[in-house]
Amino acid sequence: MENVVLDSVVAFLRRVPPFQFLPEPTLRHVAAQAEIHYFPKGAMLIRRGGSPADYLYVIQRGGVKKSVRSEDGEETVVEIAGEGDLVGVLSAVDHTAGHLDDVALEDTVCYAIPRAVVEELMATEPAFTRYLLHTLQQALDVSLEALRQRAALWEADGSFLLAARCRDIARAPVLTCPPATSIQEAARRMTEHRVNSIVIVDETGQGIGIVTDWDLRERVVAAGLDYQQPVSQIMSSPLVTVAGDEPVAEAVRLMIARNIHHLVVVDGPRPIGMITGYDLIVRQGTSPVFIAKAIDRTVEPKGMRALLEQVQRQLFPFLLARGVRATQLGYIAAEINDRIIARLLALLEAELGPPPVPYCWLVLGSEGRREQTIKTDQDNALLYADPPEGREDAARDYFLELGRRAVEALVAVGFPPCSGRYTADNPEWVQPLARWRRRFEAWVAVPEPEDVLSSLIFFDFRGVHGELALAEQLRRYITELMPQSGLFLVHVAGISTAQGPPLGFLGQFVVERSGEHKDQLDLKHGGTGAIVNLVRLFALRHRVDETSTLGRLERLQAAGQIQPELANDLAEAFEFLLSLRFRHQWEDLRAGRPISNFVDPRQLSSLERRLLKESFKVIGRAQAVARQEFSVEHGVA
Amino acid sequence: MSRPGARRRRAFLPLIERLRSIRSLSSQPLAETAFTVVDTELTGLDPDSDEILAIGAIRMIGTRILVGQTLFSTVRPQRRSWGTSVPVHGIRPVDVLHAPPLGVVLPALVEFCTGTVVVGYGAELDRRVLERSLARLGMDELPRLWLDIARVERWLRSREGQHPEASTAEGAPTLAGLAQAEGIAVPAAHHALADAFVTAQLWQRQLARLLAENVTTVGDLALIGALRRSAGPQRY
Repeated sequence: MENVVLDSVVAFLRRVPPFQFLPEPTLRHVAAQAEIHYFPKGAMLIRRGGSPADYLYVIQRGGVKKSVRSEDGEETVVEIAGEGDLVGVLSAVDHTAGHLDDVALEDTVCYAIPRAVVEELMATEPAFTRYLLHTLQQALDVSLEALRQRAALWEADGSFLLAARCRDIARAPVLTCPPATSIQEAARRMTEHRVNSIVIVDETGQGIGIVTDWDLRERVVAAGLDYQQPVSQIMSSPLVTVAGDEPVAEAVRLMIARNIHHLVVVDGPRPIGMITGYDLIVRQGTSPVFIAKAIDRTVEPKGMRALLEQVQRQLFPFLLARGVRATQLGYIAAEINDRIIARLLALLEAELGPPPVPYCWLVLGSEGRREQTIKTDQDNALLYADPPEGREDAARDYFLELGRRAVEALVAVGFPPCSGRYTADNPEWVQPLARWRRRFEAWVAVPEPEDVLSSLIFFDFRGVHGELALAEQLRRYITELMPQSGLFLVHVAGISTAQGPPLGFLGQFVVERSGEHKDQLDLKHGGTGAIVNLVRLFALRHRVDETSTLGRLERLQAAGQIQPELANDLAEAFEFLLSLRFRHQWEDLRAGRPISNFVDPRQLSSLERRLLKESFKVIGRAQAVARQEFSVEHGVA
Repeated sequence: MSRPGARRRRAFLPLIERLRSIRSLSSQPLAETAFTVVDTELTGLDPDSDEILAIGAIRMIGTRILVGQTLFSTVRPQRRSWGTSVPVHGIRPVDVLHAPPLGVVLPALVEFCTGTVVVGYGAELDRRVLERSLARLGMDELPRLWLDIARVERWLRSREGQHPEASTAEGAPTLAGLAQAEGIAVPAAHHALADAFVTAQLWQRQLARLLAENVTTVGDLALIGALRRSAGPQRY
């Protein structure tokens, strides 16, 4: 039957993705349930943080500005949507609060598709769903990127930093001493802790004064005062303090008003941290640069432990909230962990004396790939230069001791030991270059099926401290070995494809049936780990010496060794799964639960569930490619 | 029921009386009110003698136009020729030879309109034709509240500082003229459903303007003189 109204809507939608992917009868069905909404200039379609949208809007005429507003009222325009563009995708699909402010730039007419209709289409039309999910990811990326850029601006002009709480940026703990302490003793402790101030506390722990480097110079050395006098003689008192909950702006105000460089942050009467003028300059927000500097200043594992905690509890959530991608976060985490390892090893070298021959500390597995999440088991090994004849035993003794102490120190800092003992306190993984070569040769050339799986993390090694050239030499050797690796790679392919993604025949999630994680999904085993294995397999075969998963994919794609679409999908799936893992680990950490890789799919948003399923499907596709390339029988390891 | 005397007398009723008669509806917010936007095509221009050739209607709730809720039908009239109006709507006698008669179409329209405010451009004409047709069929259930968006337009223009005289100097604005000014595409001029659709889009925009002018209830529409009550038993 003739229907000019329906026809006009169908004619419009037919040209607009994702509706253009729908078959004609479905399209008519959608149009018949559509509404036409009118928004005069300035009207708001969706408000950021407002109730979820009941419709997905397709702009038929007019324009819509999508923007976010920062806390200081600055507006960042994320996108100007025009005719044929979608508005409210996130809110309508995921039924979450408005993500952006969507305001009509001019009088605007939209076709409004009720949410129930969108949901129905997402359940039945794969092309429609894929498009929408892709749009969503892009929208998320774009808006988070805008926020991130805005955050960078805040820091540049200081306004963001000034809005932070004093307790969040204070350096803790504070070095303290009682008033009777001698000036010399106080100075000695300041030197020992590499700080330039000490807070004098009374017997109740309340801060009563402060002594800084300046006081020592002006009031002691220049004045010719006896170093054995009590420190209370030279302290500045009363102590200028700021409550931990005050904004940093207040700290800055106090410093300027009192003309001081050190400000003690208190919780009630108790000093909990220190803010210095230097900190305010060096530190932009929770800057990785600042943390790196702080690590280099630290002299004992205890201090590093506090820093690591700070990284995990403040820096990571800060970065995640600002839209830093999970893989980038992995890089930042690696930078920090590398620096901690380097600092610890430097301290140990000072204790044990210089190494007899050059060595290189290797990190393996996820650390080697720079993909560790919040708390990763240690996976490390020690590689040292082949010692001159007759010195083998001496060298070995030194490095076994170094490895043992380093692993112990890392545990003390907060890196849990590896359950499989893939750590440098295991003599098997402390070897000179020649023996490492032989080890890899054995793995590759005469693979023992039971050894293949456990050897895999070694192929992701990366040198972090010492003579990095040693690690490079070993890497080159492994690349040269690859032509004789046929059988080994078939074994690896078998392992990488043995278990399909946790999706059932009908596309439902396959969760743990019992145990501690009953009804939950393992994001590592079936998710990120599966992608890592597949990508490592392709990388080894095509002699890509990169270790990170995204880096390997990039190189494979550049060399034309992987279908670009599959490479992109794998990269996206990996990014999504890793960010999901990060987020859940962060929530575990915050809630004081043991950190795990499991999530309950019922607790995910419908969008996350869909992205998760899409990611698992990508894994399935990649496994099929691997099986074909390496002629692996389905399901046979 | 179409006696001219009755209509004239009602026109002289004081405003307060008219308001009282629609009391039950008067406080209903326009944003939640159901509307049926209608348009008819006739054999000629005389509402008292010409017959209906086509009816189009579309539903709105507040400012939302419901794309799937439309009604359209051509109608087979009793007379066999209406040569002069063919160039306007393009409906020739042969086109409606097999169309359903008014007795079939009208009950469907009445049902579609039940519980809604009926909206039209120059709605007075449509109302008179429909009233007469219903009377002839022995039906007395014609929709009750009629809104003329041509009147709304006049009120809005005077309200927004445009002189009604200025616009009437070039003749009253036509539906097509208004649509063009608003940038509304006209899918097919003088097609009952297309015209109803265009009328709905105009009413949608007018309603947004009215809400901005604080005209927010059905009662307010009566106050600005755009609402008329139909003859016949009231359903509200």
